[in-house]
Amino acid sequence: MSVTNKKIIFTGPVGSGKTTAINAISDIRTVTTDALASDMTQSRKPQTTVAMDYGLITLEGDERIHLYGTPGQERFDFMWNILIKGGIGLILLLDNTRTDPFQDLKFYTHAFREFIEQQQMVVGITRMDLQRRPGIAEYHQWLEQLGLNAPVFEIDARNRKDVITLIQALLYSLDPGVSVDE
Amino acid sequence: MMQNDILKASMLTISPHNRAILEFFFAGAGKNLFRITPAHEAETFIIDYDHPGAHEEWERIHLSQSQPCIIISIRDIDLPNSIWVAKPLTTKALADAAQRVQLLLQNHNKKMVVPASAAASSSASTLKPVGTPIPSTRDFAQPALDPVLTPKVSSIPASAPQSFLSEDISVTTLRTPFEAAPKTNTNPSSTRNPKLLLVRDTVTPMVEPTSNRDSVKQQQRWSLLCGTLPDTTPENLQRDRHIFDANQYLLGSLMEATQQAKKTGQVFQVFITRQHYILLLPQPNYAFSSLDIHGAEFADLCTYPITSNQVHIHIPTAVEQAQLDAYVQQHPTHLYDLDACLWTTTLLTSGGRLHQLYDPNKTYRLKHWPNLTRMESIPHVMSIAALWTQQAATPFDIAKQLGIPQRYVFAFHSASSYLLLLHQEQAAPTSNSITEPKKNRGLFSRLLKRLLGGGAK
Ligand SMILES: Nc1nc2c(ncn2[C@@H]2O[C@H](COP(=O)(O)OP(=O)(O)OP(=O)(O)O)[C@@H](O)[C@H]2O)c(=O)[nH]1
Ligand SMILES: [Mg+2]
Repeated sequence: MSVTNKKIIFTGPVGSGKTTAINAISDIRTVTTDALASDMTQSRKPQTTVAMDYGLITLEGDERIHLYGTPGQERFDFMWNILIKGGIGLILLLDNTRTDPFQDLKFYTHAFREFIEQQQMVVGITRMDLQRRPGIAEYHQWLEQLGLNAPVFEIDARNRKDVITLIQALLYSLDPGVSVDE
Repeated sequence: MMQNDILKASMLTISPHNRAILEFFFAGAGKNLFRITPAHEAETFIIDYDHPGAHEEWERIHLSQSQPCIIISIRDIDLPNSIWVAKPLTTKALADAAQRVQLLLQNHNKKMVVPASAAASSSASTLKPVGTPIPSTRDFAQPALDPVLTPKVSSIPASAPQSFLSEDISVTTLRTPFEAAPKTNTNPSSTRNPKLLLVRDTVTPMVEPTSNRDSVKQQQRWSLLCGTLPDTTPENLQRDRHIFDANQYLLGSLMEATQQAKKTGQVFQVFITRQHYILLLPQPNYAFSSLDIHGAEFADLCTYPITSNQVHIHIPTAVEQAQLDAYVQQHPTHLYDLDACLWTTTLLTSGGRLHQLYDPNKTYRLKHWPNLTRMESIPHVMSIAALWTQQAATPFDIAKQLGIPQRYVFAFHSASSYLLLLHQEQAAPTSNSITEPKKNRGLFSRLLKRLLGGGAK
C-alpha cells in the first residue's frame, strides 16, 4: 500500500502558539526547534535537522499528516519554500497582545501569498483572553484590505478543541463536500 | 582563489538558531554558492549584525582582514567592504550576495595591480543591499572603469536556487529524521464508540460528544437551535411558515439595542423579563446575561413572540454601572462574547427559519466566517460556511449541493445575517457543484474523523 504524506504548516510571530498548537493535536511529542538546531550545529549534518517544529498525525493505512511550524524568531524564505512543498494549507497564528498584529498579518500573508492563493489559509488569533482588542471584525477588515478572505477564529493554542476547529475550517475550505460520515 | 564560484565562507557572530538555518541552506539550496570553512580559509565572513557583539566583531575583521563581509540584519547597514543582506533572508538575496562578494574579491585582486588613484575610488565600496537589481555600475566603481571586470551574471542563474530546492532538499529528506518517531498504537476506531449519532442527518459536531447521554442532549439542543421543519420550496416559504419576523421576538429589541450600544459606545441594559436582563458592553464586545443563554428559560424567551412592554431598555447611571460591574465580576460564567450571544439568540429565534428580510430573488455569499470557536455549533456549520464563501447561492442551493436538510442552512443564514456576515448579491447563482469528489476527500474525511473522534489524544 502506498504511503500518503501531507503537510499542514503553522506559522506566525514568536510566541503566537505554534508549538503549543502542534502539540495539541500531534500524536508524537513535538520535536522542538532548539534541540534540533543545536544538535545539528554540533554534528554538522544538516539533513538530519529541520530547524522547525514538527508533529505528526498517523491515520489508519499509514496515511500521515505532518505538522510543521516555522521558526518564529527569524524569517527565512528559503526554509519556507522547502516547508510548503506538498503542503495542503497554512494555519497562521497571530498573538493579539503584540504591538502591531496588522503588521504581523501583512508580513505573513505577504510571505506566503502564493501558497495561500493556491491552497488555503486559516487564521487563529491567540491570547485574546489577555487582550480583547483588536477584535475579530478588525482582522476581517484587514484581510479585506489585503485582498484576502480566510476564516478567522479566536483561539487558545492550549485548547485542543480550538486547534481542531482551525484544521476543520482548513479541510472544509479545501473541500466543502468533505464529511465525517464517509 | 575562486573555485567554480563557490565561496568559502565562515560564520562568525551568529546565534545557534540562525547558524543552523544557514547551514541547512548551505547544505542544500545554497551548496553551489557557499561552502562553510574555518575562518582562516574563508573568502568572506558572515555576520549577524543583530547579534550581541557583532559590531565589535565586524570592527575587528575590518581592521585585520581584507576579505569582504556579508552582514545580515533587519536594519539597513552601510559599512565599507561589506554587503548587507536584509532579513528576512531570501534565497535570491543570498545568491546576489554571493555574486557581489565574488565581484569584490575580483576588485580586490585587481586593486593589487592597479594604480593607487583608481583603487582609491573603490576603497570605500559600500554596497547597496542585495535583493535590489543586479549590480549597477554605480555600485561597482572599479568594474565601470575596467570592462574586463563586468559582473559574471550568468554564473548564477536566478532560477538555480529554486531548482536546488526541489532536487536536493525534498520533502522526504525533511521527513526522514522523524520516520523512526514512535508511532502511536492507539487505533482510533477501536477506542471510539461505534455510532453515537441518533438522528441520521445530524452530523459534524465541533467535537463529537463522548457519551450517548451527551449525544442525546446535543441532538435536543440542535432541535431547539435549528428546529425540526421539513424542507420546502422557494414558492412555499410563507405558506409553510419558514419565515419569521424578528420584530415579534426578543431578537428584534436586542438587535436594536445592540446597534445603539455599538453606535454610542454606551452600556445598555436590556430587560428581557421583569427580573432578567442582558447587559450590552460594546467596548470590549461582551454581553452579560443574568439568565444562562444555554438554558431552557432563555430558549423559551427567544422562541415565543414577546408581548408589548415585555422588553425595555435602560441606560445605567454611573452608580448603577459600578454595581453591575461588581455583579458581573462575581458571575463570570454569564459573560459572553457579544456576537456569540446574538448568534445563539438568533438561532433560537429562527428555529431553522429564514428571516423576514430574506429575498428569494437574490443570491448570498458569506463575506466572513463566524467565529466558530466561540459560538454555539450547529450541524454542518463548517461545510455551509466553506461552500457559501466560495459561491454566491441561495440557501436552497446550498442545502441541495450539500445534501443536507434546509433548516440548518436557514438557521445559518439567519444567524450570519444578523452578524452582518452575509452579503447579498444580484448575480445569478453559480453552478459550481461540489458533488464531484475532490482529490483528497477521503483523506480529509479520515483526518476529521480522527480529530473529532478523540483518537489518541
Ligand atoms: N494566555 C494565553 N496563552 C497562550 C495562548 N496560546 C498560547 N499560549 C501560551 O503562549 C506561550 C507561547 O506559545 P508557543 O507555542 O511556545 O509559541 P510559538 O509560536 O511556538 O513561539 P516561537 O517558537 O518562539 O515562535 C506558551 O506558554 C503557550 O502556553 C492563549 O490563547 N492565551
Ligand atoms: Mg515554538
